[in-house]
Amino acid sequence: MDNAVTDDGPERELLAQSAAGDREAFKRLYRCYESRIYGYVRNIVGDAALTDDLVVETMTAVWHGAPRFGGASRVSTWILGIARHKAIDAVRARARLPPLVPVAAAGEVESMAPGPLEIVDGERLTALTAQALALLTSEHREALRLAFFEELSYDEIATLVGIPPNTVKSRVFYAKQALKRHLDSLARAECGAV
Amino acid sequence: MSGPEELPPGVHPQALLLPWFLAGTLTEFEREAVTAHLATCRSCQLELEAVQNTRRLVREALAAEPAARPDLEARVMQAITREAAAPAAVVNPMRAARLWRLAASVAFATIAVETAMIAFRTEHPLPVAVASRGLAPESLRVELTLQPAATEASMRALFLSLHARIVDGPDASGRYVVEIPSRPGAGADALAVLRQQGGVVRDVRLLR
Repeated sequence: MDNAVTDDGPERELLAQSAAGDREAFKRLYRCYESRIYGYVRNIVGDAALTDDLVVETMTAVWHGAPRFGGASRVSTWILGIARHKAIDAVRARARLPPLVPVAAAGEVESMAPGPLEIVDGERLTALTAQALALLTSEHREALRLAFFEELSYDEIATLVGIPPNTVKSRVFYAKQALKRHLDSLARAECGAV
Repeated sequence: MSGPEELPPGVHPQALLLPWFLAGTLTEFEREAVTAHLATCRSCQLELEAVQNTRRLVREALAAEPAARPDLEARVMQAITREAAAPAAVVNPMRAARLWRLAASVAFATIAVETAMIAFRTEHPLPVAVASRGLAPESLRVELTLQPAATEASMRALFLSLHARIVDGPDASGRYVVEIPSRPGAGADALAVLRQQGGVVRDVRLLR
């Protein structure tokens, strides 16, 4: 899978400049990634103050590691990998791993029929989706973020998360189904439907 | 706990690629295969719509997540400035403690081994031929005094034959210090050659 590896020229340039000690370039690189790292880490650790600390640690590691960035992966995969590593280490250190909710009805194929979501307005739907995401397992939530928001290839996700590519594909599939189930439930409750 | 890799009945393998088909991150081969499948599979066409919808909802929801605090950038830049000023401060204390324990363990092990070796060698000394553990000198140095009648040409010829070079002298007594490349037995050979040149060399001794 190499169709997306080289598609990050500007970020590579900023990282190379950072490796040479250019703090302004590093600041621009940070601004490209602040919201992404913050959101990704906060989804893992669930605590805003700890997320702040981990973002600082992540970017400090990026600053120090920039000269050693080999370029085999995208810059985003590399940076998110550092963030993930630090977030998971922090969670383990605090012995507060998010509870794993069993994947419900993983073998079902969702109905394509219209549901209550169609009658919820857009802005409220965004809020409900956020609630539904919070109800997912951390693995499903991470899979959807990396596939749909970060738009990493399935090979990149496999490398980042440390699972086989086929597991990535099926995990995203089931995560999408689980998200829809939660969304439908929340929308029904919102609309008072039974 | 990861989801099962088995697909539920009725779900085609191409359906699993739809998120990346939409993102444009499939290989050309995969993209063409999915495109061809979608042209004839109604269930996967519906699945594509579902994936599109999920993708939009997830992107909108995650984009609306709380942002980082405004001062976080300043904290990051201060952190790397601190790192540059005091790089030792970044050492993880736990890791540093582990490294110190490891270093101490290695040091004690080395001392123990060396002590055992010393004790063994006291009981079983090495043969004289290999008693010296010093580094072999890169060259030999000899002090020689030339015959008053020795010509410059004869001196040059002698030194060239030994690959020797003058490193000091002549002093007030006419003594030279000459350096000769070292090789096994070179000391004795060099002295022998020099002593055989009585017409050129009046006196020679090996310097240590």
